[in-house]
Amino acid sequence: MKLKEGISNSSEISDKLPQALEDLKQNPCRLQVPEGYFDTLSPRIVDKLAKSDSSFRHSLGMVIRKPSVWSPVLATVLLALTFIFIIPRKTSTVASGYDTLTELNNGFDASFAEEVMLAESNTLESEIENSPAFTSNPVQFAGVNHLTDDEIASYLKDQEIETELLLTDN
Amino acid sequence: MQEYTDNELIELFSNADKKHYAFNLLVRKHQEKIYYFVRRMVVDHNDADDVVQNVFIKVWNNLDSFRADSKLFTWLYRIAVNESLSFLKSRQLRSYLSLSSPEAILVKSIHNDTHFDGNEIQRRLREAIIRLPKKQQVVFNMRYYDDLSYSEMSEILGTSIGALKASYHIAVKKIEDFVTSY
Repeated sequence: MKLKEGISNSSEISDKLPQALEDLKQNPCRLQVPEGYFDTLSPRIVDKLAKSDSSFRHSLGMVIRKPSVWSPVLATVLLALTFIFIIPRKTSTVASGYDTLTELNNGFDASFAEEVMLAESNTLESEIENSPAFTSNPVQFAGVNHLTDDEIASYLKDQEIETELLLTDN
Repeated sequence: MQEYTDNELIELFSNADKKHYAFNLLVRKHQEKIYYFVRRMVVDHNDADDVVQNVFIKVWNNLDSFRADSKLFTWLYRIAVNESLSFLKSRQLRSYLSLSSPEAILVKSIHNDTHFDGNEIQRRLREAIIRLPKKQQVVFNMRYYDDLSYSEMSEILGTSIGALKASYHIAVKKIEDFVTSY
């Protein structure tokens, strides 16, 4: 290896370095660990995991118990509920007003207006037809209704109206 | 004890009843390699112990979502590299407060390491490695101590093989220079 060669060529002390390096590589136990370290590592990690989990739950529980923590949370929840349930009701009121307004606006629609006017005129017509004045007998003018043909002809003659055509059928 | 393959361990871990059993086997199978890699990076045994525990806690939390398209050991190594570098980075931040360089703290750890029974030359060699830039240190440790191939290292570190070879070559040169100029 170049490192070993480089080191071995450098000085008397560094002649021992390649060996030292190789020794460190072959014997990682030069880096000592406490006795039984590797036997206990896994259980300690599992223990740490369990502790971190329980300590998280414990700290969460402690936090929840504090009124200074839960009271603002409660207030926020109440405020949120107010916004969720009260504001939509107001919105529905506005919606019904909008519906009325829409209905009114539809009145200005040409076709809608025509339908309304037609309905109104039909109502008036039927009212007129059913009125007593319309259904009663023709008006009697005393003495006028029983004119003779001669009287009519003389009247027309006075008015200078041609009577021949009128009276031929008779 | 029955020797399981990594894929068998993953399958066993996905079974809720055998999760703890599978995890125990997985830790026992890979703990030494992971420990010694981390130990070479962070020097002190207690620090290495913390980092290794964090590595396996991450494994526990994420093994369900591990995709079997890469090797489990490669994945473990990647977590170990990231955790080691994160640890060294946090120590670097602490070193700013203590007005000591991170290397100085690590070198001090080497000299005070009671869990090291090597001779003075080996201690000096550790010092040379620890003074390397972190990426070069990772590459050197993986290549020299753990005998990983460049393609495995490339998969773990997400770096091209050419860059890794160059990085290893530079690391070797720096160690030579440090040792000869001592």
